[in-house]
Amino acid sequence: MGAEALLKLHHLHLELPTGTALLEDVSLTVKRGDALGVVGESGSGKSLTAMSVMGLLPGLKASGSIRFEGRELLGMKDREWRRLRGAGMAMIFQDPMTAFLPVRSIGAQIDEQIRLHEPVSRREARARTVALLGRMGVPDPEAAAKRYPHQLSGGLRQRAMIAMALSCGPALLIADEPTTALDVTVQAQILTLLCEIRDSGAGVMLITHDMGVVAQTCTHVAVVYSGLVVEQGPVAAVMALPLHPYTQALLEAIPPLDGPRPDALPTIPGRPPTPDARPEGCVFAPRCRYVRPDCAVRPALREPEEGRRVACVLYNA
Amino acid sequence: MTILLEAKNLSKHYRLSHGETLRAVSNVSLVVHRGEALALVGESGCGKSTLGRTLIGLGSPSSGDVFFEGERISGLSDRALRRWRPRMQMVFQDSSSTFNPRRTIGETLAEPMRIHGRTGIAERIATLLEQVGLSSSILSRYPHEFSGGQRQRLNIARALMLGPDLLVADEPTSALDVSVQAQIVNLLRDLRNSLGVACVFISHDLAVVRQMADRIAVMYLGRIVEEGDVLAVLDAPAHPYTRALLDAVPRPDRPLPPPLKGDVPSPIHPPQGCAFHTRCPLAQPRCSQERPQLRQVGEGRTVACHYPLL
Amino acid sequence: MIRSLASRTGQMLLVIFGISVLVFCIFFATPGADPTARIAGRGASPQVVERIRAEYGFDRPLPVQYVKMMEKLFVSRDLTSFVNHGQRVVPEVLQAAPVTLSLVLWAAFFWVSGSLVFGIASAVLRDSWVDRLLMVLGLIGLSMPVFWLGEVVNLVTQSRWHDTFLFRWVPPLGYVPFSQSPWGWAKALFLPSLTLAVCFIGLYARVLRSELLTAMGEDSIRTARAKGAGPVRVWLWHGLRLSWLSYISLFGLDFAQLLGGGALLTEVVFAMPGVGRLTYQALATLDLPLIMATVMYAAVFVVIANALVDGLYALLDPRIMEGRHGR
Ligand SMILES: Nc1ncnc2c1ncn2[C@@H]1O[C@H](COP(=O)(O)OP(=O)(O)OP(=O)(O)O)[C@@H](O)[C@H]1O
Ligand SMILES: Nc1ncnc2c1ncn2[C@@H]1O[C@H](COP(=O)(O)OP(=O)(O)OP(=O)(O)O)[C@@H](O)[C@H]1O
Ligand code: SF4
Ligand code: SF4
Ligand SMILES: [Mg+2]
Ligand SMILES: [Mg+2]
Repeated sequence: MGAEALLKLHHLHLELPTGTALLEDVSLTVKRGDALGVVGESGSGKSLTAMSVMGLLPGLKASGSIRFEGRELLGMKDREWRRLRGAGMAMIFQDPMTAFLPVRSIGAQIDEQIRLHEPVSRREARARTVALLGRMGVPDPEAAAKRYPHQLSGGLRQRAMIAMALSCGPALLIADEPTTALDVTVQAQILTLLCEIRDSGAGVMLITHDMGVVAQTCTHVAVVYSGLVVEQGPVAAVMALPLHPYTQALLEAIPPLDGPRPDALPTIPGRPPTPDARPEGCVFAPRCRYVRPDCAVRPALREPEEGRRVACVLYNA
Repeated sequence: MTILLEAKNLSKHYRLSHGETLRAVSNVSLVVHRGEALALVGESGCGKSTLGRTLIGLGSPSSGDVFFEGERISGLSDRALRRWRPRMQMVFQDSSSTFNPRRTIGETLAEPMRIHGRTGIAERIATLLEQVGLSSSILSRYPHEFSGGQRQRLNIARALMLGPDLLVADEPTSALDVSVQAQIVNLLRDLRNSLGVACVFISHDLAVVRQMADRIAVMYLGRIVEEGDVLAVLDAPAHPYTRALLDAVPRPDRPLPPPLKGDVPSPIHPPQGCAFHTRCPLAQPRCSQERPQLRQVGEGRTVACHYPLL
Repeated sequence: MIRSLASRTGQMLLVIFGISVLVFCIFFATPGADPTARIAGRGASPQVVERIRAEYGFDRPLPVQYVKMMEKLFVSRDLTSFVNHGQRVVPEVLQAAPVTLSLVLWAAFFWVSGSLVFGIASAVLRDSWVDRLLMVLGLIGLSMPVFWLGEVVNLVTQSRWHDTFLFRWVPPLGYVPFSQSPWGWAKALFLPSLTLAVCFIGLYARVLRSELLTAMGEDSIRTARAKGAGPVRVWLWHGLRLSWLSYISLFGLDFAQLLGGGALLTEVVFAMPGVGRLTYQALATLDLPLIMATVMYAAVFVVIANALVDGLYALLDPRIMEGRHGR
């Protein structure tokens, strides 16, 4: 162990039956104890990436490679994949209101997950559920387990969702915009929780479009643009010195919370291409301020510095 | 600066089916000056949207008054309000629902002017489209052909058609990506500078508010707890809740401080005394008994707290 | 809980009262028609007419007439049919009720199990030929008139092929009470209830299919799959749980209206002495007291069934109990 990454996507390519590529080329790595933030614009393919790892996209054709704990997932039988789902890797979703079944108590839903993967009795499962809810900071976990999703606040629901995801001790936790539907003060509570999970040794993949959230919770970041990973590296380094022009523009567009107030925020002209009309060369070329002739050939993801990778001709040594 | 809009002791209560009352807005007083941008911030359900709507006469207040240019507009009938409508417009978060999917952009944009019997519609549309950064060639297209950011621009153009003095923008950027958000924030600032439109900007994103607004009013459970110049308030908040909101914004340069405990209490049964005392890290016994009144702390700043941070 | 139960009961009583007033007005308070003569039937002697007028108080104001009628219907239960030679109508209805109940229960069993199988199968295999075939079959069942189907069944099983081994077991038309012979009861009801169920199977399978497919797009189903639940569990446990709310409300309504006499055609065709056939006879002979009794009986059943469905709903979906949302 150790050397092998927990999760490694290599040239993951996903297309519709019609042939339109939704994901062009996604390569990223998550190690144990790391949290990888996946950022990018709406529609860039962040959720699709997560769902392909979970194997929840039956209608789409995937190629490339998804290695989880050294095992190749693509081409795996659904029966085997299912055993990993929920036990080896777990996922939490954006809207905890709709993600739970509305007609059963949250305790019953967490029990179900435990019993799906481990041969324990109802009583034991419930005891574990209550303990988990308590660990997630849900007040009076025993009573909370008996309540229905609509009877809990958004923050408590998301905690219950995280408790469910963690119930079988997964090695990888995928969180798809876990705080977008929540208030800032509640978001802070959930992010603190995610940091604790990461520190306890699990790998975390956190999907978001909020750079602040990534900076706060993640150790690494991958920037996705139009179905491609264009930059990946340690958070601090990427934040301090973004390499890819898109990452640079993305960071500049965030209004500052202190210091001088700019007259106008820098913006990116144009908009991202749709999956069926991606440019031949660099996908960011139509909006890039450094575009030059050799951008007409799509640049591969390279490693100009130790641990940092970027797909842009500016860094072709 | 002259006062454009003034609210005095404004309250809005909703009667619920169980005979309970939900106090969405309680006893709010505020002023908006001509050409100024006032931001309303606070967590979900604190009454920002309700206040914004009540300010411009969409729904009458349960008590209290609203004055526009010194004339009372609250409690007027819809008919009587018609005269004021063109002067106050609203922009909503969800731009897709504002547009009828079966009508072209041109028709939708022309509608407010047609209703109010104005002339020179075509020229007005052309100027406004230029101002929001779109070309006139899009008039014959349908809403679904636009991106979220473009639709929000059109939405703003629609609100500006009648040349309002006041724009209430309810979370105009919350559904947008960061890069598109930046475009809309810039646009709203430009429009304010060039047209002198006053703006009530509702948001929960403090960074956007800081970029957009002149003054800020922080709400908690239907009440304003702190008000003042946006840079001054965000640099050194006086109310513990404002402090907590600011601390909860994730930022690269510092680890997250311990977050506030608990959730926002229900507005149906708000806590006694200071409504924030159930979560306030500085709460003292007095806070749960006596409600703090808004009082002056420094130049143009007010705060409702027994133990302010200033 | 108790308060909501009490208010619910109050509502039910109010509805039943409203219906009774309405029915009373239609039959007895329509201007220009003398109810006495109508109750007495055609060609009754003047003495009878006089007796009826006194007994029902038709010479007194309308509210008194209404109270008298309700008293006869629910308290003394001695409402008498004159067309039918002094037959008491309330016992007649009560006697017919178990027949209808048995028939409808059997039919409900067939149509629920049939539609569950067909609905789930065509949802799981959506857009395949199985799905299309099942939906076409359902449509055929839906559009086949029940009396025609009943006659065909009778023709085949009672005369044409009655003596072949296939249908030798089929008993003659009519009803056998459960207390007399449970086996005979089941045999007598099998074909009539199946016939009655045919049109419902198609409809319910369609409803279930579309509800299931909508439910499958829900976020909570995605969560279930992310938990590692297998397809059987996802469809039958999570999917059904989300989709049978509208199924149940539809079921409650149909069940109630069948009990209330909606199985009229089936009962007539198969010569089942149930409430529907009673209504049919009453209508044919213009037997006003009997019509009144069957209509009231139907109303009570529909209202009670509705209340039961609402209760079931609240049990199945906790959000309905509170009426207020957590958001
Ligand atoms: N099942 C599907 N069939 C066809 N297109 C799809 C499907 N799922 C997603 N897409 C498309 O794939 C693209 C990427 O979608 P995805 O949900 O991964 O975006 P995202 O990065 O998660 O965006 P957001 O921030 O809005 O959640 C979008 O253009 C979307 O319309
Ligand atoms: N028409 C209504 N009837 C009853 N309650 C209402 C109504 N509209 C709003 N409320 C309630 O009033 C309170 C304030 O709502 P409002 O929409 O003003 O909040 P907000 O601050 O805009 O929240 P958000 O950030 O979620 O938009 C909430 O608790 C809400 O549930
Ligand atoms: S490859 Fe060219 S177009 Fe693409 S980001 Fe780099 S410089 Fe810009
Ligand atoms: S009054 Fe007390 S409880 Fe309220 S904000 Fe001030 S210190 Fe906190
Ligand atoms: Mg997504
Ligand atoms: Mg709002």
